[in-house]
Order: sequence, then structure tokens, then C-alpha cells
Amino acid sequence: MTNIPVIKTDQLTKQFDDYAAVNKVNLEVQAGEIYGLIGPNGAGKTTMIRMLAMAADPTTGDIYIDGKRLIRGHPDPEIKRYIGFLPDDFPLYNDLSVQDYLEYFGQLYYLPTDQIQPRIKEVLNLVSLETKCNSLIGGLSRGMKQRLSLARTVIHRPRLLLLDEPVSGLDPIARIEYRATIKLLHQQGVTILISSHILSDLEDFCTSIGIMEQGRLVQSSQLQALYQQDGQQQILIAVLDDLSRVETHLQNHPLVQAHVRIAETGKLGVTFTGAESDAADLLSSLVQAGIRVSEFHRMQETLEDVFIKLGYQHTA
Amino acid sequence: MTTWIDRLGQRNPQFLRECRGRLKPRSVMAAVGLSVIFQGLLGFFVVEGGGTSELHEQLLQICRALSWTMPYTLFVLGGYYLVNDLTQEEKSGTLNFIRLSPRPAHEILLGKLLGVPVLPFLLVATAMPLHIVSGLLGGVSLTLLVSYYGVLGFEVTFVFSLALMIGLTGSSQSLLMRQQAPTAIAFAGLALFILSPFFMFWNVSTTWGTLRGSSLLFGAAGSRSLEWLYLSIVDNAFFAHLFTLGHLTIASLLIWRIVMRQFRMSQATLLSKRLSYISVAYLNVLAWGFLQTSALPAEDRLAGIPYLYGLNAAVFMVLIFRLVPSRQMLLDWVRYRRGHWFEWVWDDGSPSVGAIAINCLITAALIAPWMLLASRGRDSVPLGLMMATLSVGASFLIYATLVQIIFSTRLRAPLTWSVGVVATLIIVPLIVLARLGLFPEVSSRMMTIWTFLGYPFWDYSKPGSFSSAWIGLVMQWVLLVLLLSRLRRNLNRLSL
Repeated sequence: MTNIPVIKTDQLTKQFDDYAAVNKVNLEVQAGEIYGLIGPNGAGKTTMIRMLAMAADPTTGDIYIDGKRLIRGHPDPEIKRYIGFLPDDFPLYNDLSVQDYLEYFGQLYYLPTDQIQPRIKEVLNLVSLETKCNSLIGGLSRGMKQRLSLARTVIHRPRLLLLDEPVSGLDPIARIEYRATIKLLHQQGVTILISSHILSDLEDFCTSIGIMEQGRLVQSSQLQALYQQDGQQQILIAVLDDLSRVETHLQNHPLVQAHVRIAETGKLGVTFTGAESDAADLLSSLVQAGIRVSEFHRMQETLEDVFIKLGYQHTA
Repeated sequence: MTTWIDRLGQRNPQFLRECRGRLKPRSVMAAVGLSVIFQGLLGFFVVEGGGTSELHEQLLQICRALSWTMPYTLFVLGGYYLVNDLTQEEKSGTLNFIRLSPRPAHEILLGKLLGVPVLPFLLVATAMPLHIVSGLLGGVSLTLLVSYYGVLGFEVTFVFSLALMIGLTGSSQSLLMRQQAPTAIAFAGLALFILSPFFMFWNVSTTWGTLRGSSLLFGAAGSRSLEWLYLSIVDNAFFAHLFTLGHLTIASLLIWRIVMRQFRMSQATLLSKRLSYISVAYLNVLAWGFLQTSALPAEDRLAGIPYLYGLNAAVFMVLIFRLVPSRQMLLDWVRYRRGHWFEWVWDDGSPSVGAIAINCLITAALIAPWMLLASRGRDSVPLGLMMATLSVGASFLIYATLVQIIFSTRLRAPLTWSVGVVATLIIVPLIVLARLGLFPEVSSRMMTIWTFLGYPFWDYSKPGSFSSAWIGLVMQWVLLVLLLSRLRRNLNRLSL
């Protein structure tokens, strides 16, 4: 049996005047994934998410949510209930209390009456706003409002969350809390598509990454595969013996691209194109060769490194 | 246990949200207090000013004052609140979250319609007991009071639907460009100076005027000869009510269609091409019906034609600016959806010129046969009417093509530009020619120029005048062809 992707787009395009904000994008997000959409400003991430959320109509192309095709101008209410959308801005009703606001959205999404109050408690707990239940929204801080927006987005238990820059403008502590909340939602089985400029945040919890550039999806794969695809990693080696023995050994190794002595530290920097297991094999071969290795440090590339390499490579 | 509030929330969460946001203790006390103070002052001034007049006359005065005050309060305040609320929601972006909810659009909008003006409703509801009691004790019939509230209910639906439409479109498509307060104030002004007086004038003369005791409350009715399709609207209570409520219902439904469309697709044209055909046909039948009256002798029947031309000029001006697709819509249509010729008639992204032409044909089909029949045996009149119809139709098409050309080019504020260009074309030549005294009577060349400019309403009985006007008409159509070819070039450029 084949798995139906939670999100599937076919040649999805959004044209603004002569400029294609999203250009023939074919995207697939499987159930249970946290899919991070990254790219520079103007890459088309927000437009892409807005189209998936039915907040904007595509110029051409098709969108399938949980296997159902979105029909322009006639969105299926069932699909609307399936999705929770948090845009990058979060306008709220300042004249309502937190409780009334969430109750209103619970009712808008047909949450049964007897489930509304327990669910409000649950989501306020999730975003740590239990104490603000009766406060007026107008009196909340920006961070609280952002968390309340997330609570509103998940009040109806959506199976798919579309989050557009959800942590922008938050301080580091709030970002850590927000990340924890997203992980918790993921553990509850929610599929999440999230865009962010803060790549270190995405690296922490994303299972897959899509890189957008100038409206195109230039890369889409699982995070680990992305690291491996690029292949190169840096290994720092220190030995108790003479470094020249190590250099001789490395010259014959097929996965070693280059090595250079780091004068200040007396260590050897090695550019290596293998997986984690290959690095382990290299270490054991050094030990077997009788080299007394005092330090073997493998440095994993960050998502930012990969993004800069892959993203801009494609543009070029 | 579910309370009635829970049940209301399940049925229409939007209505509950609006009530929760507005029915704060302070606002409720202010509204009720204001209403009570107004009623107290009204009673005081009536008793003080009434002198020796009888109690029943004083009660009638109170009822009369409230009968006039209630529609004004509802239309002005309710309309203002609705336009202001929707413009604000559209501007801040909160309306998008409601749009994304699975609740149907009509339910959300009904919640808005009933919930946003809840304070004006409260003001009026507080005054209703005094209105009813003073009316009944003053000798006003229960039938008249029932009719009053019934018609008021229908009219409130119409005015508030109109307010919803202005609120939704005013925020994204108006010349005021998302200026929240001016749009709401403009609507309140419209309600105060046009909608409310017209509502009272119409119903006092027709609907309520047909009921017993109406003169007690509103004085003697004005016109006694208003007919529609030879059926009196001022003599027969049943037909008067059927006419008023029927047309209010049709008009509200048409506006409601626009509101639903604007709610679902805020970037779409105000009304669909399909709805424009229905609206034009409906308005022409409605207007033409008033000319079918026994009050006018057969020879004066044509006197109503300028009124039909005037009405259609206003309707077509609205259509020309509101059916035109934006450059983006046009671009999407040209690049991705252009196919069959009938898309010019139905597809809302296609240029509006086709729809304007169809609307011209609908109008002509509805009124031209009657005009020709009514002008039988009057020498040059049928020819003149034919000339006027063709020339006015060509003018509408020229303006529509010009507006579409402007919208197909890359301009920052195409609506402002097109309104400016069309207004200039209509007004400036008229003023210049009039100031120079160059009227069609001066020479046949002037007749040609005036017809070319879209003013073909002249006496064609003079020898040669018809051929001069004919040249003007041909010039109009040549200009139209040139403009259409320019539009075609623009469309081809967009498709690249």
C-alpha cells in the first residue's frame, strides 16, 4: 500500500505580474514529518505556505492535501479543518479575552461544545498561557500574543500545521519554548511544514528540508540525506607522534580529499567525504597502523553551511 | 450542561463573537441610558410643547417622532458600525482567519450583519415599547405598526447588506484605498441623507399610505398616482407591500451575492459578469415598469426615456469601473485560461468589454422595442432614438475599452487613473463646447461632434441633421475599433 502524502503539489505556480513568486513547484510532505522550508527573502516561502493554507489562489498547478485536490474558490470544509495555519503576522482581537477568543475559534471549527473548555485548557497549557485565560488580548506582550496565535492554530486539532516564520521576533528563551511546543505537537502525530530564517532552530527538529530560491524548490530531501549528499566534512586529528606519519597514511585513503597542518594547534585538518561509519573506519585504520591518536574530532556541517552551498549553487 | 450561549455559539459563532466584543456592561448601559434619556426628553417636550392638546394627540406625536427616529438610528449607526468593522478587519488581516474557517460564508456574514450593529439594535429595541404603546393608545392600527416593523426589517437587511458590501470592497478596491474612517463616514452620510429619507418618503407615500390610520401618524400621503406595470402601488395595500418587500428582497439578494463573492475572493471584481447581466436586466425592468402607468397619456409616454437613459448611464458607469479585471487577473487569464470566445462573456478574468457589450444588448433588447412602439407615427423620433441608443452604447464601449486599456498597463492606481480619464472625457468637451456656444443647432458639423462625444439627444427633424449625426456615430465606432485593436496588442504583450 502506498502512503498518500499529506501535502502534494503539482507544478504549483503563483505569478505576481511578470514575476513568478512560486514557479512550478512539486512538493511532497509525508505524514509525521516536520518539513522545514528555507530560503532567502523573496524566495517564495510565504506565498507557498499561503497557497497551501488556501489563503491565496495559485495561478496554475494543483494542490492535494491528504490526497484531496483543492478546488479554487470552493475549498472543502473538511480540508479546512484538517489544516492549522499560522501566518508570519498574527492579528488578534484586542477586545476579547484569551478564553473568549479561543472559544470563538473552537466554535468556528465545529469543535463540540463539551470539548471546547477542556481543549482550551489543553492548548493554553501547551503554550504556557494558563494564567492568562481571562486576560484581555490587548494587554498581552508580543511573545504571549505569538503563543496565543499558535494556540488558536491548534485549537481544532489539525492534522497538518503550516507555520510561517513562527519564531521571528521572539527572544532566545521564548524560541526554545516555542521549539519545545512544536516538538510536542509533532509527538502528537501532527505533520508540520514550517518556514524560518533561523536555520539552527529548524536543524533542531526538522526531519526534512526544502530549499527555495527565486520561486523554485531547488532541493527537497530528508535532513540526514541532505548532509550526506553534500558529503564533505571536516575532521580534526591530533596525535602523540609525528604528524607526517598520519599524512602518509591519509594520502592513500580514498575518502580523504585534502589535509592541512594547523600551525597554532599542531593538529591536522582533514577534508573527508564519507559518512559517519566511514569516519569511524578511518579512525580504526589509524589506530591499527600504530598511530597514537589523542584527538579525533568530526565536525558536522550545519544546515546553514548546507543551505549556503546548495541554495546558492543552484542559483548560480 | 450546555447553556443557550453555547448553543448560540455552535449555531453562529460570529454573532456570539460580535455580541461579546460589543455588549460590554459600559456600552450596554450607555446605549440603554441614551435611549431612555431620549425617550424622556421626547415625552417632556411633547407634553410641554403640546399645551392644551389632548393626550391622544401627544401620544401620536411621540409615536410619530420615534417612527422617524428609528430608521435613521439603525441605518446611520448600524451602517457606520458595519463598514467600519469590516474595513478594520480587512485592513488588520483578522478577516482572513475567518475566511479560512470551515464555516460557510453566509453564516459568518449573517453573524456580522446581526452582531456588529447590536448596539443600534439595542437602542431601537429599548424605544420599541414606548413606540408601540404610544401608537396603539394614540389610535394607530396594529396593522400599521406590524407593517412598519416588517418593512423596517426588510429595509435594515437591504441597508446592512449594502454596508457589508461597501465594507468588504471599500477596504481593498475603493478610491479611498483602505481608509477606514472616511469610508464608514461616507456610508453614514449616504444613509443619513439618501437612504433614510428615501425609505421614509417611499413608505409614507406607498406601503404605509395604503393602511388605515396612516394619515394619523404620517400626515396625508403625497403622490396618489404611482403605478408599476399599470398596478397602483398607492391604493392597494397588498400590492404595495408585495412590490416594496419583493424588490427589497431581490435587491438584497443581488447585493448578498456580491458580498459572498467579495468575502470568498477579496481580489475579484465587485460583481461577476453573470450577475451584471441579471442586475442590468432587473434594474431596466424595474425602471421601465414605472413608465407603464395610466397616469401618463400615451403621447407623453416617451417623456420617461431620458430617465431610462440617465439610470442606465449611472448603472453602466458603475459596471465599467467594477467589472474591469485587474492587470493581474487579466495576465492570469491571458496566459493560462484564455480559450474559447465565450470566456469573454462569462470568465471574470477576461476583459470587461465583452460583458459591457452584452449588457448594452440586454438593455437595448428590453427597452428599444418599447421605445420604437411608443414613438410610432412621430416622424424623426424613432430614428433619433435609434441614433441615441447606438451612440450611447458606443460611448459605453469606448469608455469600457479605455478603462480596460488603463488596467492592462502597469500603473500604480489604475482605478484613479481610469476614473480621471473617463470623467475628463465626459465633462471637459461638454464644458468647452458649451462655453464656446458651439451647440448642434449652430451647424451640422457640430451635430457630428456632439454625437461623436456621446451626446446624441437632438432634434433630427431638420434636413441633413441625421446624416451629420450618422457621421459622428461612424467616427465613434471607428474610434472603438482602434481602441479595441490597442487593447488586443496589450493583451498579446501580456501573454508573452
